[in-house]
Amino acid sequence: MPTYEKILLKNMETPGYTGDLAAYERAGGYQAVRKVLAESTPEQVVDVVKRSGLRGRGGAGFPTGTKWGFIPKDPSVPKYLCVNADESEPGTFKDRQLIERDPHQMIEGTLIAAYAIGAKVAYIYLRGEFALGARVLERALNEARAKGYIGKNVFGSGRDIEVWLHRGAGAYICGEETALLESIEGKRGLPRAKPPFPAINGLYQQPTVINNVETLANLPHILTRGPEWYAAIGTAKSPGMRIFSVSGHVKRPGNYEVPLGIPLRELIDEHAGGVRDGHRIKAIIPGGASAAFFTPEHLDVTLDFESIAQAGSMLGSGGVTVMDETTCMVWAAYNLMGFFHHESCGKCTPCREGSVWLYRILGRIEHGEGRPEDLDQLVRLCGNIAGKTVCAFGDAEVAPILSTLKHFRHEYEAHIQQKRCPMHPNVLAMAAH
Amino acid sequence: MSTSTPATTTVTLTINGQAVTVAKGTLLIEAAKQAGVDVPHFCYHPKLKPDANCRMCLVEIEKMPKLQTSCNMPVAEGMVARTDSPKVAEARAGVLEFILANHPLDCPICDKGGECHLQDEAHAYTPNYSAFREPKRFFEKEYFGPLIDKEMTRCVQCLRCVRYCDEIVDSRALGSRDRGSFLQIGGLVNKELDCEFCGGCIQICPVGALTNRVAQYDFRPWQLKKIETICPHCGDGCRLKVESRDNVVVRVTSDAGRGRNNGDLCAKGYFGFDAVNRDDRVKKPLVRRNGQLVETSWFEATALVAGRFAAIKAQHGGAAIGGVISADASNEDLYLFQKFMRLVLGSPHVDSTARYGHHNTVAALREVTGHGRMTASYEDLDRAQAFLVIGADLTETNPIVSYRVKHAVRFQGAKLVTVGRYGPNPGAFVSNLVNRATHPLTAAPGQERAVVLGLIKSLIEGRRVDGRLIQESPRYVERLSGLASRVSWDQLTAQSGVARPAIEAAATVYADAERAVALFGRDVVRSRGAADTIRLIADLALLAGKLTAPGCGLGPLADEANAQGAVELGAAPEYLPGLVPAGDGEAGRRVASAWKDELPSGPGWSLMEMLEEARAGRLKALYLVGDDPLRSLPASAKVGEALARLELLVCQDAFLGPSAEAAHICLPAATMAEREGSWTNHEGRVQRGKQALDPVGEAQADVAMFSDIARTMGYPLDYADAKDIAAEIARVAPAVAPKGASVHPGAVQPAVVSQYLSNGYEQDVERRFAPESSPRAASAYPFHLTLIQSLFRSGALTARSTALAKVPHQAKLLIHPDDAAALGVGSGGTVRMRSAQGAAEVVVRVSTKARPGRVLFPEHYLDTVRDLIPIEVDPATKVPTFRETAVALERVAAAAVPSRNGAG
Amino acid sequence: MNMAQPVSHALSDSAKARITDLFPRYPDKRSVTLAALRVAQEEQGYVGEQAMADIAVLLELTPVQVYETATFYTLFALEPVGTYVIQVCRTLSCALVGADPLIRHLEQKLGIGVGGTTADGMFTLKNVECLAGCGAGPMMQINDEYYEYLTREKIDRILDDLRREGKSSLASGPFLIPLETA
Repeated sequence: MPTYEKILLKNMETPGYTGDLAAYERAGGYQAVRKVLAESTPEQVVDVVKRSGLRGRGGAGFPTGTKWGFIPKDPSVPKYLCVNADESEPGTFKDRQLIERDPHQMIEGTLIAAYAIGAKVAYIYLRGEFALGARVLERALNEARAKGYIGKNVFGSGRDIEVWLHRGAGAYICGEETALLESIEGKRGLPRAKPPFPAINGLYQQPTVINNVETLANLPHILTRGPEWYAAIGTAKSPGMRIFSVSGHVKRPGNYEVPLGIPLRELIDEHAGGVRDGHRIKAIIPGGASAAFFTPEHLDVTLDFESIAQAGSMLGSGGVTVMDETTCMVWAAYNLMGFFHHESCGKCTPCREGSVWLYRILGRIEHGEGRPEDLDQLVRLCGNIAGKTVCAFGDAEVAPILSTLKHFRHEYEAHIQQKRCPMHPNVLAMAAH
Repeated sequence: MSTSTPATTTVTLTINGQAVTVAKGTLLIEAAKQAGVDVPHFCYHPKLKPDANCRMCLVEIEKMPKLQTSCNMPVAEGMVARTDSPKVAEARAGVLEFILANHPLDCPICDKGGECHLQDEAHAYTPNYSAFREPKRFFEKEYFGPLIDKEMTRCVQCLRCVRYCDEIVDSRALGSRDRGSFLQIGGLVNKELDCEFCGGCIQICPVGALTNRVAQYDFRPWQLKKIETICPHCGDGCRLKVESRDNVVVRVTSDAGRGRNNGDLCAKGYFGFDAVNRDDRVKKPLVRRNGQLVETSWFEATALVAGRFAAIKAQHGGAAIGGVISADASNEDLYLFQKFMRLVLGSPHVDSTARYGHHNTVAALREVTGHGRMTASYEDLDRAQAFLVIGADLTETNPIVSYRVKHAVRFQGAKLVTVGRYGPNPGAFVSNLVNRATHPLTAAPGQERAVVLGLIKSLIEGRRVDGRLIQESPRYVERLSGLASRVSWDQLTAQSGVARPAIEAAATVYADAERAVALFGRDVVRSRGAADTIRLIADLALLAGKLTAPGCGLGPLADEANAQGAVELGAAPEYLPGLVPAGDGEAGRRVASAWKDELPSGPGWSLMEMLEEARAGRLKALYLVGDDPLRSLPASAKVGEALARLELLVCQDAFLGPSAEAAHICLPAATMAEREGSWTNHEGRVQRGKQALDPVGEAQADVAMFSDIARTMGYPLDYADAKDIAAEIARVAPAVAPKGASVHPGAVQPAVVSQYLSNGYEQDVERRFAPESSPRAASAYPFHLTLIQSLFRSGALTARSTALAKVPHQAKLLIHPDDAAALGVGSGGTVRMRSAQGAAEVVVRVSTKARPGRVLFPEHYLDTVRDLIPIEVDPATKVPTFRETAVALERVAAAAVPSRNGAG
Repeated sequence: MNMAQPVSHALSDSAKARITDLFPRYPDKRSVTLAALRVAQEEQGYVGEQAMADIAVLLELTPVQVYETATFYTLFALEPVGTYVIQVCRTLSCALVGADPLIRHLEQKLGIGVGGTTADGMFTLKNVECLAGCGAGPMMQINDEYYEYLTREKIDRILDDLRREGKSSLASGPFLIPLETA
């Protein structure tokens, strides 16, 4: 198995590492931000991150330095940094580990980002269910505050950077950056229509950057070891290490930090131990539930933003779900549609009305009540949702359906012809929401 | 001082191949409209912030990979947009298919049918079949209470209602509940709607999800006759559309873009119309025979009135007759009435209900600004950076002005200083302006003037007096500075209960804003020493340079629909039409020569003087037109005694009120919906209203009755129609005639201001700079009671509205949570309230709007409460004051446990 | 839906203090809504109408504004629930490794269906969407704690622990490796 130098998981995989402030500092933590505050201007930090080629790890893969560059420079305008720790994409569990095991790494990244964009306040939007993460983060923030690393005059730099934990309360859509802002403002988490964009009109109508946990965790390392070092890892357009969360029918589910650009096959077979014994792979979701299904034909696609997109899916959140031949594809699509139906915020007509319609059709097919015209209907309805909504949720919810229909249309047809699920003849109805 | 800001830059774009030039910042959907291209939409509304949720307005824009919503897309130079491409058509059809999938298609029984956006768009943009084969979504039926019906299955989740309730009204009583396909709009589950009941949610709903229960199933929209008139319920001057069928008002609406209200209404305007339809209207003339009022013919009634007036005039002279008219009447009614009184009856004793307050404003401001109108226009309110709102409970008295003020505060960042007796009551659905105040100066009752004095003192001491004023009117500034320095801060803060730093901060906000408007209302206008306070507010505006500067001004708020017209057109003993002083010989002669007759000699009596003279036996006859002093005035005014001594009491009204019950002759009057005319709102805008209905029974418009009686008395006062009277008004009183839509009719008259600044200010200046202490509460009566205005009832007409009576939480004594706890009562409990005048039992509502030791009760609900209040008449302006007194409270029934938060 | 609302109680002064203590963190009090609802739920077991009205007053909102936010988020119970709210993940990764049979097992064991509460008021059983425990599925959350790598036997022990001691040592610690100082 190829091995790589760990960056983000290095500390926590060191035996005895507790993740508290002392342990983090012993491992060299808080040196990067200290140095940045003392020696670099915000513009220089933005420049370093731009040169590193770091791209957002939340899903869209937007270049982080460029995103920061959209923030107006006017010092009289308050600016905000929001940390997207609302990890909710099915199949993804890396941020949870970064938060629970090494919170200070992320906090240091937060301070660097806040300094770079001129934000005096950062909010960490933590998924509501992460009660343990909340305890860990609250303690870490208190440790850092007690040391003068956050709050007034951080590290004696004369700068004030407050970092507050803001807990969500159970809504997938709050991972969408403008829904996240609404949620911090205490409202229903409905994505905002854009324009205006958050960089100009974000939290409390002020310029705002929203960065993912993993994105921020990279920053101390980039600032310490230099952009060239970072850019050399991975591929030219997708530099750096990436944590992939592997789940489903593999022998060793878990988080694996590998350079971007390794083949999907290596991740599944080498790192995650391969598919469970006696079985073979049938389908893979390469980037969370919003990404189109792959088939074994795609195992040689390399895990970088461009290659996966070219192959018809997306790198997304890095959540890789592996399904073996025992899995019914209609059932899998129906399961995920249940998720999307439950999580649609209801703001946009196509998604609100379309998600329930799709869910009903899939349910009928899976339960043996499908009609031949349903398949074209599914495709048509998906087309009326994708690209027609305020946020990317509309595109996400149709991906599992369209891709399973594309690769496994015969399974749908078998359901309709046999008037039952051929693979799970006794399938229990997924409980209604 | 309205000046429209010209667009600094324009943008040229192409829509469907057509070049369009629009102001920078215009939304694409509006640019398309300007180019004559309609883009279908549900959630967009020009009054609201774009939300882009319905996705109906998707358009194709060159260089953008996806379709874009045109409702939130600002235009850009060179933008190339298409609304007519196949891609756009497909997207629209797709969105409509989704909306219609779960829509019930119960159009035949839906009140929206025929004026429904969904019907229109579906007709235009969908194929004629549906591919939806699943069970339709179902929502449990919920009732919104007696006035508004909610049918969630019809809802398209555009949230216009929720956004309107928040952004325009600030009631925030509607919200959306749950999410995804379960999303629905509503208030609190299992609770009837509790809000301002402005009807705006119904009006803005694009489909039949929210409908008017008062009119439910009564009509199809195309069956209704729709006529625009002016709302009679307050001085805001809203344009309403009276929609009737078979001469019965079915509903009242108002179109966005119309009138000074831009289609927004309040509960009284939207729901209060039903009084017009009541069966107990006076439908025929009535005369008293053997102690009973019995029906008679118009011929006989007119002959009788004319004969009795003539006889009394012959025996005692015209001066033995008095007349009082309601200030809700039209300009034509008011003008003709005073002319009738002065010429036909030969009496100088003519007054109106503007005597209850507005006369204080006119008396105080006529020599400062030239009139009693708002010198700031509504557009100035929209653009203001700071407001001073003094003694005004805007939501309850002038809802449309309150929408504009709140909007400017919430969305333009305007600062709001409130001066008055109300506390903030967060959590309440009837939005209290104090909740939005950036500088709430909560003062002891009756101490608004002390706070204004404090503001003046702060300006002077903080060297914030307008530099130009110091240069041009040094004597004025010096004099006022001298007087202000004689008042001590200790005294001001002790009396008002407002801390000095708070007053200073507020003064800074007012002085520093480039565009600042000072509004004041009934707690100033209808209180003791009102004219002094108002004059002092004018001094404050002058000192701050905010009286004549563009975008600035004073805003006296009128409770009545035509208080301005009543005074300006001479329905007052002290003024002839045109605000000409009755004692001014030269001006009087000009009016007399226009009328080709002599004016009656001697000073006229005001309303309160007439009552006193009647009691003394010197006033023999009284002609009441739409006024009902027995209903309006407390027992201490001894109105009954006065009316009983009259030889003749003629009441001309739509309803038989207490005064009419005592009359010798009652004449059936037309209501606002049944007559044409013009009304002058508090801005001074003269707005025409058309006749929507034929008068009920044999009722007649007031002007017709004046003419009939006059003709019978041998003094013809005949006019072809209301326009004919308006033309005479323009001739006789050019000063108050409309100057065209683009001119703000309340603009300050510069010559008057200069006169005031050179020496006019001296009048009573020492008195208004001497703060008056409130009478100390006697220990026997430890609470202070104020009679306040209610949003849901402001007079005889609204009191008779069955619909408005259904609004929850009315007629409650508002009491602070601490007091409620001390008394051991909660909301719904009963207390006995005693004053030196008597006692009354009332139900309480716990609310922080009432401050500790002070309770509030709405007028027009309980005569027993009104009668607790002693009456006092201002010696100069003759305005009666009966709004407050000291009371004692004792618990009768505890009801619910008092909550210290007291949302309400 | 038109069932009688349970009696709802006013927030305690200490709960109010916990809420107002958060005000300095934000430029707008409304931002405290989610935290305030959580405080109310911690104190009263669910978020009742009076609690929402109290929050509205503190945050200078109307009760409807608090209510509409509360209904958007799945973690707020607007009606009383069991002492322990069991949320079993049903989303794909957990479903692939056997979440469904475990949900059936819980239903049998507790004698209630999904969405129900045991007669003794001890347990409420719910399905939940992905909780970011995919690599350790099947998994569930009970109140604040995660329980992962579930089997029938493990579930039985967890329920017994909770009944007996009010907590279970089988709860997941910091992910992957237990944190010594936790």
